[in-house]
Amino acid sequence: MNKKLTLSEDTFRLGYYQYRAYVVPSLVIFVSIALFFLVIVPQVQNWFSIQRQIQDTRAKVATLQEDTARLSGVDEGGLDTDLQLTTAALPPDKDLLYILSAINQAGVDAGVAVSDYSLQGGASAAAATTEKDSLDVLISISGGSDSAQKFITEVKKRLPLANIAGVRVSSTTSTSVQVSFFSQPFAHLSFDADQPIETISPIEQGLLTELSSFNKGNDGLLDTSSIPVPSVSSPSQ
Amino acid sequence: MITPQGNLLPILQRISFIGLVVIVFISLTLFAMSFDTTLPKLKQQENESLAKLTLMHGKSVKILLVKNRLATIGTVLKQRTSYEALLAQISKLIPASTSVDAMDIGNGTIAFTISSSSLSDLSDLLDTMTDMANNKQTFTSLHVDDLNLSGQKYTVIIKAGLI
Repeated sequence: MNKKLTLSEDTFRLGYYQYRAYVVPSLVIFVSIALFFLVIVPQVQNWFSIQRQIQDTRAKVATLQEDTARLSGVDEGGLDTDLQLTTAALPPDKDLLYILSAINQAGVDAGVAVSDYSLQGGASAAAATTEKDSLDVLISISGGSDSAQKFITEVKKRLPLANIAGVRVSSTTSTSVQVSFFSQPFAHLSFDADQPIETISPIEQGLLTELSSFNKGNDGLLDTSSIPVPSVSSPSQ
Repeated sequence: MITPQGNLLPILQRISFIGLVVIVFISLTLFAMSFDTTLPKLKQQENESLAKLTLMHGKSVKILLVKNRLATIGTVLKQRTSYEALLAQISKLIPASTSVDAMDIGNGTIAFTISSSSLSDLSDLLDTMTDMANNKQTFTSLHVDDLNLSGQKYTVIIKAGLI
């Protein structure tokens, strides 16, 4: 049995007059709730976001100020020397003249005659990257194992850095030594304002001291003052 | 007909009043907080610090370059072979009556041909090298490839793995 329910205008009027005292407070509560969720909550979230930004910016400013103070104390002349030294140890490209001069000087200092060179590495794919690369040179020297020992000692004390890949003593008068000379193109550097710039650490300083003791007789061979300094991306703002 | 409860209206009125007061208070507080100048001041400080740092751009680039190269240099120095020490050690091992005719060092191995007129000297040398290989001192393994007598000279070819 379906009974049709009808609401007449009189019923509405009667209801309104009976409950009109509730309308305003209910409306206020509704608006308050709406304001709370639509305005207050986003504003509070925004405030927390600003607080986070303040914290981050404070940390960034502190890092930048520390970097500035740290860099102010660094001697630029010393840095130039360090850069020249590291570039002399690890040239940006395979400088044959520099390598051959080092070999000759090592031969002279070791008291052995260097009679022949043979390059075993050519331009490689790594030359286009910032990875370390090497050039192998097979060097024939006079003498036996004693001469090889002296020659190797001299090569290892010299810049550019080299490693002995192999030694072949054929007789007491002829020895060939395979030497790998290293090079590394300048890295594409970028620095982040959020990350502190670390100065040269004591361990790195120790390496530099070790390198400076290697640098014998090669001064002026590699003009590192003309090294193009790669650009560094601007720090993030 | 629904009749409202007598005490519901004042409760509703109080709730609406308190709600309104709370909303107004929070809104005013947030409005007042929006005038906080900490962030703009910090941003200004950041820009100033960045400007100062930009003046030292050259130094920071050089430091990064030096550090980058030193990292590779450190690796190269650590990985360098010390064949000169090996040659010196072998020279000490070889008795005076024995001569090294040929020697090939590379890829972690050493092969050498030695000759002597004294078989006992060669035997002593092999014993010493075997002990060294057993104790993993300089050599990891030892093989005698060939031993022959030519005229009055004994010649032996030794191959050894290097540590």
